[in-house]
Amino acid sequence: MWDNRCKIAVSGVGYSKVSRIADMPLAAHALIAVKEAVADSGLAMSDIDGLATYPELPATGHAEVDGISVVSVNCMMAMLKLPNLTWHIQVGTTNIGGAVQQAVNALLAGVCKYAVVWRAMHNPRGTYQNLPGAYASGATQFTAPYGFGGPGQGMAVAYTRWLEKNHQTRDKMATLAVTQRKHTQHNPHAYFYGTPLSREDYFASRMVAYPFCLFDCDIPVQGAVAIVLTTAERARDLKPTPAYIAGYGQRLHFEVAGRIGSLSSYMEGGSSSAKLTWERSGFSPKDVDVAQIYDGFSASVIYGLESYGFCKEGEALDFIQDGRIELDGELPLNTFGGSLGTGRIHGLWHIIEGALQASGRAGSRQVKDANVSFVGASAPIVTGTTFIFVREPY
Amino acid sequence: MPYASIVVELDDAPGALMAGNLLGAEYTEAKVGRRVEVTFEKLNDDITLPQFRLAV
Repeated sequence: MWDNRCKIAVSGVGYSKVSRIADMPLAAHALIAVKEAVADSGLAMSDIDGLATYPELPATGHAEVDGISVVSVNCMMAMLKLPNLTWHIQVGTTNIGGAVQQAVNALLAGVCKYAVVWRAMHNPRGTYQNLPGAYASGATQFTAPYGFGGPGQGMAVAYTRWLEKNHQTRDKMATLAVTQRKHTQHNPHAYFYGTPLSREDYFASRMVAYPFCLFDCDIPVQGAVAIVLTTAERARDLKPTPAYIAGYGQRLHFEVAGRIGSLSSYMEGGSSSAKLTWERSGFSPKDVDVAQIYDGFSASVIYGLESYGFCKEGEALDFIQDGRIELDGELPLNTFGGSLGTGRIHGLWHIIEGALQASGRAGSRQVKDANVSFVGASAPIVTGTTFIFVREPY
Repeated sequence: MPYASIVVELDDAPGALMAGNLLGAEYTEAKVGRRVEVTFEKLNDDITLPQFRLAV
């Protein structure tokens, strides 16, 4: 087990109001989320001495403008003018989960006391995956002419392979979309709060890239979320019940041609990250009370459930049936609605929910007696990270 | 109009993958493991794309 097990905890969390249209600069969203997370902890802004983020716009063909389409550490520093800042970082090889892990490391090293991590996501005007002009260049020249315009088409290939290999059809995925939307109705911060989804809605929706229909894809939104991390001792003196980090991991595998990921690479990415997390935390999948698994596209949940070890390869679509992933089921899953419910904020919202469930702060969607709370943040292949949060730091 | 975007593994270079479309067949004919052969699709004087059709 990891020497630093349960030495760092998540304290406060914060959200901006997610919107479909970018009616407010992204920097303002990030600022609202950060201020709310700091206030939720019961801290003053002057207490914050660490900053970390992953400032990426996953849309293609749009300019990256700091404060508008991304919110960098520099941008946040300029806005907050923190008097006691001692540490900051932006990560690259993993998504926002990597920024959280770096903050954990900095707190363990004692180079900061209270770190804030945010993820701000922009919804650009026009086509999200925008391939301008008639000619593709660079790596896209080998993929774009054939219709691989964005990650949806690329992921559809691996998902098709999964379905054919396991003699399954996409029909069973309706359970995931419908159940997550049901969970969303307990999350007032989510984009689809107040908008239920039926199985009929799922099957009537248009195909985006077979086997993905509209409701297999998270909706692009403008918004930001943030968390405060600190040491276990300090967290116990703050307002919220701490969510202790028992272990974490990151994917140790990478293989992407253009943006088309092979099924085996998704599985290797997920299993390499989860293995580290199980070993460090001392837990195994059967110990987990509640799980958040990244769902930018629904199939990521399937790869996650299998590669993290919650079920055998090829069985995930059967695993999610029969109420198993409901709030009172055997493995309550994406209890905040997932990205399919909140809108596309990448993995930090999964991390927030993992922490809230562990600290008993999830309100009407709280899973009863949850102690071991698992998070798979981001698609396992490309930027995947995994975490275990616990209520009891034993 | 639906079309099939496919990933093809090459016989002579196992592990090497190429993206393409399945030409000359219904998109529903694109199945994992089905053998295809290369064909060249001329788009204009400058660009010719390697493409695939079902192997005879």
